[in-house]
Amino acid sequence: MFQKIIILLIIFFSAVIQVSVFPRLFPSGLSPEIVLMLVIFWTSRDGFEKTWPKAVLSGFMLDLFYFWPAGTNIIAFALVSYGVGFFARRFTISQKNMGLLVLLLLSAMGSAANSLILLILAKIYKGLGLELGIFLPDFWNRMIFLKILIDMLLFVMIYWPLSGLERFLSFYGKKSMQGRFFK
Amino acid sequence: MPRKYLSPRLIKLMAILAVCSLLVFLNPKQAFSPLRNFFLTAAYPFQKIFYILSKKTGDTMEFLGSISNLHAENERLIKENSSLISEISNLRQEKKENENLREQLGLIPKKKFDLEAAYVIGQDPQKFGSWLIIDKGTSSGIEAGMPVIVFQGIIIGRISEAYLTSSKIELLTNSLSSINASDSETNSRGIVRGEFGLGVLLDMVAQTDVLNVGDEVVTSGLGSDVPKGLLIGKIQEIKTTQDKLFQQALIVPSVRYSNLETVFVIKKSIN
Repeated sequence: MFQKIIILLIIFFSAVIQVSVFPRLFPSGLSPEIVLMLVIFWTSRDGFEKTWPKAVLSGFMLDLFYFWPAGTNIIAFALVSYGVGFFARRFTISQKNMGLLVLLLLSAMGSAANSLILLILAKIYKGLGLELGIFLPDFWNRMIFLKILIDMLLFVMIYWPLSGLERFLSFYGKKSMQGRFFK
Repeated sequence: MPRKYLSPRLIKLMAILAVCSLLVFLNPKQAFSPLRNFFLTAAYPFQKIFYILSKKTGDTMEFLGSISNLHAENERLIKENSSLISEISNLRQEKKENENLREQLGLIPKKKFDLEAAYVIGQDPQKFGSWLIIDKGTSSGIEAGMPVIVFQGIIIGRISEAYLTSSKIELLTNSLSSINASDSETNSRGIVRGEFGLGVLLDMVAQTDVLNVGDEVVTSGLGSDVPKGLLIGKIQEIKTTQDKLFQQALIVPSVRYSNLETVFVIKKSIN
């Protein structure tokens, strides 16, 4: 339960930062996607099978904060998580051998895929005549490469704190399990 | 072997996609409003602090980046200052004339509005931002549909969703936004709507009406709660629709929506 609350708080505060901090610090269109990077980090460690609830929760939280129809970011995050999980399994045999370089490559792929998926969704919505108020830049312009680079830098910045937190949570989990069995 | 392709992972993914597609298609906005209200209320103090801190950080970064240009900038400013002093005296005279003209045109002065000042605490992180979040909501008497202005009566949009402690402003650049407007010089009427965050367009202006580049476009006060005479921007370019039935004018908004800190919600006009 404690772990789940911590995960919820991390997602919540990341969404707040994404809406209230990054748009002020980065030029229009280059605002990094911290929530997406969290999903990519978790998927690269645990695979899609274990991460999909976090991806759904993250997407839902972002939909709430973006005022988008619930489901939009969930679709994007679920697809990105599936893709990252798929490639993470193939790039590495075990988690320990997975270098940061591979993770960076996955984060770049995830960032590009997320932008592309959202753009396709926005076009589908428009095609269906759904006025959902989603406005996205064209995907293939120079800005997208800069945005991917910024997302990668953000991934590096959150990688070690999240790894540390993960170790702490797994340690806490073990302790609480011991408490439950040996009390 | 169909089982090979339909792994549990893929089935889960397909289930998520199916449920979410249904959610998006049905778009039960109201169903999630209480939840959105809860999270926005919970996020409100953090958003406010984070937004102010990030603004200060952004300003500091901008200052540090501009240090190298300070000497040249200083010289330029000294020159500019001397020319501005002479300009001020001219402007004072023009201000008086302008106030008289606005009165004659029936533009509502600010004193006649019941304004609620609010801080911007969040904005659309996507390119071509189309909304802002402010730190006032239903607890301050704010309702959906109320117009939002900045200093000097420049309209920037309307409240589209109001929650307990925060509200969402749908900016004029949002393609869902449309406001009745007119050319303040020629009185030609049309509808101002957003161009997918790209800019603002004065549309549906009759071919017989006159539009001029550089004219100010103001709200016409027709058919909505938006008062007459709020400034939208200046006409930059005039074109004709493909069917040649109407004229369109590209408008340059009078403020940069991404740099706003304080805005005013017009709760009602005071008669």
